[in-house]
Amino acid sequence: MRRCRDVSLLVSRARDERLGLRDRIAMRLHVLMCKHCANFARQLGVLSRLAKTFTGGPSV
Amino acid sequence: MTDRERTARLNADNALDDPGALVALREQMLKWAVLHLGEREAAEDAVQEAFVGALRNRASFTHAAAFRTWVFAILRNKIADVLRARIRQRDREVTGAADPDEEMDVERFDERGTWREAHRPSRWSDPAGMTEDAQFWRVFETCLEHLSGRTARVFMMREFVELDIADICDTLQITRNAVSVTLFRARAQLRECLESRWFKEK
Repeated sequence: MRRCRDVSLLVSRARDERLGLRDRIAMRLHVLMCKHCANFARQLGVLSRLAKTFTGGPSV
Repeated sequence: MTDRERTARLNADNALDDPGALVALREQMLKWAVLHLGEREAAEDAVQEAFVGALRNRASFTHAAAFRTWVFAILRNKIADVLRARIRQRDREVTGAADPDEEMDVERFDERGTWREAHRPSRWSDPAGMTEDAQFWRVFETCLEHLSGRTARVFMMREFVELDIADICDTLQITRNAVSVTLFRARAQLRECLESRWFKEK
């Protein structure tokens, strides 16, 4: 299993491009077992939504 | 694709989609690999390689039990490879040059590559409700301003303007990898800032 440092980079990359099979499996296995990286993944989703809301104006 | 192949693929996908079964299988494999290799890190790598190998050839097995047998067979080969490589390694002294990418983020991760305690992402409460709060948006802006100019620019191109990676590479004349790493750093910094200035304050 890869370390949090590598997996968190994969989690970030997965938001921008399709990862290869090897990376996808590494990421899924790790995130299933590591709550910090699971939180990181969830938070990146929140950040994206915030960025969209932010540019859409505060009234959204 | 024949019906048989389609069923095989379905079963392989099911095996992957059942987190409980996957974790249990991984634990069994890990125990077995540690027994042979004597160290956890190499064992974890071998187990992961076995999963990758098994999924590459997912048409070759027909049900969950076959998946198990198959993945263990691949693991056995991986372990043999590692043991052979160790013997070769012992024969020649290797001087390892540090990978520059590995030197980054020492502040965020410890020497084993796991989150340092102060940097561990925690669970955010009510991440949807705060968008109604003007105070929150001030914090969000402050955190954005804390990013360096270049990092902020890449982040905004991606998340605000929704350009894809290739466009960002072209515009800034930097490599794909540089874009990925910059985006990672921007996101990690932003989430750290929001966590300490908003979620922990509440």
